[in-house]
Amino acid sequence: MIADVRSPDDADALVTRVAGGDEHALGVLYDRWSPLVFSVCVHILGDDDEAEEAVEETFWQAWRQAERYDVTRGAVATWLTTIARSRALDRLRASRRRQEETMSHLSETKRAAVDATTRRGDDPARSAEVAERRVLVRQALLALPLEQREVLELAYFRGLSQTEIAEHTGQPLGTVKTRVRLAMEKLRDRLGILRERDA
Amino acid sequence: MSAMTHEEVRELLAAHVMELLLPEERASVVAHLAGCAECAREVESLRATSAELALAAPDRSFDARRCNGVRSRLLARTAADRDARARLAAGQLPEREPLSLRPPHATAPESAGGWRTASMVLAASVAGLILFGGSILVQSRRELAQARESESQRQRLIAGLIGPGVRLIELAPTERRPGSARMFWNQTLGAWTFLAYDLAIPAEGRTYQIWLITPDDRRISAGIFTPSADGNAIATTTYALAADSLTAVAVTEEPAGGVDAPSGDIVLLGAAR
Repeated sequence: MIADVRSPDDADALVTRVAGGDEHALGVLYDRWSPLVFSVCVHILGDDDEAEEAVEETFWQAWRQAERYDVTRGAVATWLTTIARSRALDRLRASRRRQEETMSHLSETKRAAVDATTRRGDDPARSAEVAERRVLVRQALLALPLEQREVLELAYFRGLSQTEIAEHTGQPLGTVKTRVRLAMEKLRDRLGILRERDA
Repeated sequence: MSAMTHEEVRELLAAHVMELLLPEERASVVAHLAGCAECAREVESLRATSAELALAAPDRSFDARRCNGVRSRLLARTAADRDARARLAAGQLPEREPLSLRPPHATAPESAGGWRTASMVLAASVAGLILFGGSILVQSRRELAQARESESQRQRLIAGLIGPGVRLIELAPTERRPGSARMFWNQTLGAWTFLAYDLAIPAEGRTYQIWLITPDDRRISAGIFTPSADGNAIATTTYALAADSLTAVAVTEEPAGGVDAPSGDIVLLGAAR
């Protein structure tokens, strides 16, 4: 992991305090990271109300599982956004079970695959390190071929299985699998993760 | 599925960290990872990559009202959780996670110059909860186990009592009679939490009714309640009211079921400051 994405020591200390049952620390954690977590949730769910619920569930899980946080495995931001993605996808999948996905949503999804890497705005996250890292990740994604970027978007933010991606893109399953693998490996290399870890 | 080769597993590791594999594929990968350090390292780096993908989500503003609402509910849950853990440690209760305290999205607007009866949740007589000196005592394990709803009522109660936007209105008896009450108005959540102590039990066919009195002398019903045998009561409701739209809170004694406009004697009254 690259140094600039490492959470500051105080962020790790906050999680330790949360693990010890310190509600104030959870409040500080929430104030610092909820804008980022909301961005992730609303991007996945496409609905502010649903995203709001997912944000609450994310920090609730963080409260309940803070003792499992492993500082050696990633920054606080990625720990929280990993939880956020899971909670948001749970809601998305539950929603899908209730309602057939519409073609209009699929076309939005395709646009979102591009938007995710090109849109800029005021960064709601207070952490400058994470703001910089967000730019880096977007740039790394933007450097991928469009079809690889699309499978990552569909898999990561829409929670589609490889089979579902194949159906929606009209590509053979084997092609989708290859794109997922290539996209992830290229992204990892562009983010310098392998080099850092191998060093 | 037969055991996969090392090369076959390598092909699937990216999909594995993104949780895209079918159950049988996942089982094979996990089994392989247990004995292959090289693949385990690969998974670690891919997992880190996957985690960072979330950072590519476009920025979206988390508006302050929404953000504060989640914060209040979250901290109410953690407070309830801490309380439950403490009771668990004392061997008093089985552990149960507090539920979300999300209020309804839309609160019905007041009708112009009219009356509105909000649904009031009665907790005291049903759930066996007593608020006493700021801490909640559970009268009976059996009652709590029987009334699952009481748990969410308790959490809603806590949510209404805390937060930066909570105002307190003290109610005192209007005549020489026992009883007092407090209304906690959580303006952020639009939550009203009413706590009464030492009230006389109303006569058969009668009930107490709570009223929010506005500067233009509207009297908005905030629900009816009947105290428990010891004269205590807790009641909560949600109702959006502008910060400058409350003059006083009153309690009257009315026919059972409540009325649209106050008709009985005012039992308790408190000015909003």
